[in-house]
Amino acid sequence: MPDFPYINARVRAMRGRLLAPTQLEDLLAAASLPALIQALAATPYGHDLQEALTRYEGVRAVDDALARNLQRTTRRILEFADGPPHRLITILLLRWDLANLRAIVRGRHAGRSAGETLEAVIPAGTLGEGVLREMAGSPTMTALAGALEVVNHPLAPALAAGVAEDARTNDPLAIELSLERAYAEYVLRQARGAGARALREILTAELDAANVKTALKLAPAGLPDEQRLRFFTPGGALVTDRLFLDLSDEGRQARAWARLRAQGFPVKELPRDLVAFERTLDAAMAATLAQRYVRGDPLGLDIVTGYLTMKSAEVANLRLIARGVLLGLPRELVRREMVRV
Amino acid sequence: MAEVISPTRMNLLQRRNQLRVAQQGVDLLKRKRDALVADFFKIVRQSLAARDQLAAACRDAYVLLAVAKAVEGREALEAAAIPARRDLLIDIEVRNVWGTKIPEVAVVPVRRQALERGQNPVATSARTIESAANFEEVVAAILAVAATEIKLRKIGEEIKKTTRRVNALEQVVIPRLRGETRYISSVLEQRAREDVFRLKRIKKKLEAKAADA
Repeated sequence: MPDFPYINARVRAMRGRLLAPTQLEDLLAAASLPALIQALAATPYGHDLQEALTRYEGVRAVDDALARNLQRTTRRILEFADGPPHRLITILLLRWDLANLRAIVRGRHAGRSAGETLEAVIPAGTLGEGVLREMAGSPTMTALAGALEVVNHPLAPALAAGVAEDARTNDPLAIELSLERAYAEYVLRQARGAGARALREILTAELDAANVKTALKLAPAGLPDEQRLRFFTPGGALVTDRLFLDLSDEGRQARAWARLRAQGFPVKELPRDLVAFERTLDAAMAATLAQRYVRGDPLGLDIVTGYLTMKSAEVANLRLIARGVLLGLPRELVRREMVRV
Repeated sequence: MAEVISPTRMNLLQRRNQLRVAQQGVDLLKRKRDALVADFFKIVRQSLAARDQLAAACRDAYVLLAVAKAVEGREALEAAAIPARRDLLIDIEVRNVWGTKIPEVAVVPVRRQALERGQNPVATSARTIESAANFEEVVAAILAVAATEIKLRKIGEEIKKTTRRVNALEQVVIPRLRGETRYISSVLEQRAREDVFRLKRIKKKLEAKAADA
């Protein structure tokens, strides 16, 4: 049964195929998008890019190639894992399932066609393309929930409950919020035991970050407490429901921020610009996760976590570079937005 | 075939009246054209400002959209855009300016809060929310440009039409009427002179007859 030392050795070999910073700079200096695509074809993304160019062109082909490559990467890691390591890696990948379920629910609720809905899906999680296609093509929301239940997905009960509440209240957000909470509860419940400590730390930190971002986004709306509390996801280490309510109230925000800082939240300044704040927070979290590759437990999940973080950052950076070259954006702006891990 | 003008006093009076009306018409149309031109230049300034604002709004919106698509992935933005579609209803009122019907596009608030767009603040990044807000600003800017340019087009057409009418009156109708007036006047004067001459001759003859008798 493959265990973490074996899996980590395989992942370290995959790490060697990530692009160096100098290669990214060379791509950023490409004179045009066709030149960039040609240069990208000479990297490990070449095979996916060739396939993508048979279906799309330009930036769309680059996006598709990067998405397919990420999907192949996650599938490969799952394939050479088994037993408890497979379970932990599956938990890590469940976030993609959540993003895909969100997209499909929105698409079906808005009456979009299956094809249009699938445009918003990236099959990098545990749900395969076949299941996603079937769900996207479901005639009703109840059928959609049924399709997820058939594959015994852990989020199936939450989806069914959310669909029932939406039918009663006509509130599509009810489905998404039900999924968010169920995802948090499930992954935290699964991430127990000595071997899952690293995963639990990652998940609670991510929940704290998500709750802080949500609270700051809600603050300008001036909603009453009970309406704001709907958007709180329990399970983080730092952010309680009380702190969430204070952060999402402009009058109480400054004091709440001081409490958060005192507990060790990675961003020090209370943000004025939410976009810049999210960029800083995401960069800090990505850097922390990527550091696990170097400083984390070499016999645990840290190597896989660190590698997937670096891989996701590389994919985001390549998408950014492609758009920067296409639109002629200033290179400094592209460099500022790039995720450095 | 040119119209045959009957050189009568009635026709002369009629032509003089028509000439007076045509000249009044020219003055009125010129005043209308001046007012329309003044309006036109005022709206041109507004239109140029609206275009500049649209260009700036588009620049900001597209840059942030490109960054959001890159960082979060096209799929995430497609998913965020799904619940946000809506129909935007616009009121258009027709105003009468110097007899010209000018459509006025009413300013409608376009920008929405994230929750009004159906965006889930838990799952939608600030970049995506800001990007959506930026494009709502672009829509508002497009409406402002449309409002000014519709007016410009209508006023421009009316200025051209008015100028054509002024030119037609000044260069065709009024000269024709003046010519006809002159012609009739000269014929009537000629007749009057002939009448005087004839009467003088008759009078001379009668006097000579009376003297012979």
